[in-house]
Amino acid sequence: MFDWLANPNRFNRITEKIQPCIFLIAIITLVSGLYFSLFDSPKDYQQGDAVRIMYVHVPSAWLASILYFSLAISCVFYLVWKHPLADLVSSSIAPIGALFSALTLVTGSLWGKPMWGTWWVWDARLTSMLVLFFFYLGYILLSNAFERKIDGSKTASVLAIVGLINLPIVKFSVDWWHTLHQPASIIKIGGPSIDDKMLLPLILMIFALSFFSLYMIILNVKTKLIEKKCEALLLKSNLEEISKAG
Amino acid sequence: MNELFWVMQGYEIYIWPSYVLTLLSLGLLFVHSTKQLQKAKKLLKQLSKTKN
Repeated sequence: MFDWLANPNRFNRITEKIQPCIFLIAIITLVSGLYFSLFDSPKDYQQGDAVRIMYVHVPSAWLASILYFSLAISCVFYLVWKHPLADLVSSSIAPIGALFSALTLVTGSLWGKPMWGTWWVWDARLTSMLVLFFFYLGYILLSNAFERKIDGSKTASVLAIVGLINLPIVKFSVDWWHTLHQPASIIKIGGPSIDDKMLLPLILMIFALSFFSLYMIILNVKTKLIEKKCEALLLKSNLEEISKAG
Repeated sequence: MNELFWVMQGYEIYIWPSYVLTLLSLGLLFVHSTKQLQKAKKLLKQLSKTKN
């Protein structure tokens, strides 16, 4: 797939066609997701209306983890098969993933205060999500920390792959340790344990944020491809000037 | 829409900021990335013109 898409012209041609569809799906699912989240989903019998924070908190958390996994896979492609597009994909995913992990932490705090009586606890789930956020930041900082772009990309890719170890910790922390955070209620043996009327807005919001992320990744990759083209043109004109002067 | 909806059983100071922050972040990310793309396209056009 990467081999096939590694051709920038082919990538642009394909994404040109699918990007409007992705955007449209993101908007439709977001609007309907917000409608069901705020107007047409029941209150929780214990948490009351505060449960509505779940519809932005859980999708953000899922996206933060899914995007990190995609980032790490893309880094493997970059390190092993040296695909230039893989590096562009990784660097396009990183800021979006960082944003979602930050949103998870903030919305989690806003949910934690009324439910647990505190903004933050050094609980296994919360701490591992914070670590995930730091891995994203580490990737972004490292990839820009070197004079030669290629050195930064390689080092940051290694860090991203090492950070994969944190993903099962994020997912299973609530099962492995006694935590204040509630256990899984969607992906679990025996099926989801939440009401269908709550599951619908949650799924819609997960779809909305997933399609939005996909749209943004494509947009960022396109920008980076054009920037690469500009760099190549600048380099070529500089070389021409040098050869003329020589 | 009645007043009770906005009050959300007294949890409004936690619920609304969660939604506003999420939507605002998505909006800002979208605007920023679109601007970056337009900027890159403009630069490429300028460079191509100079080359020709």
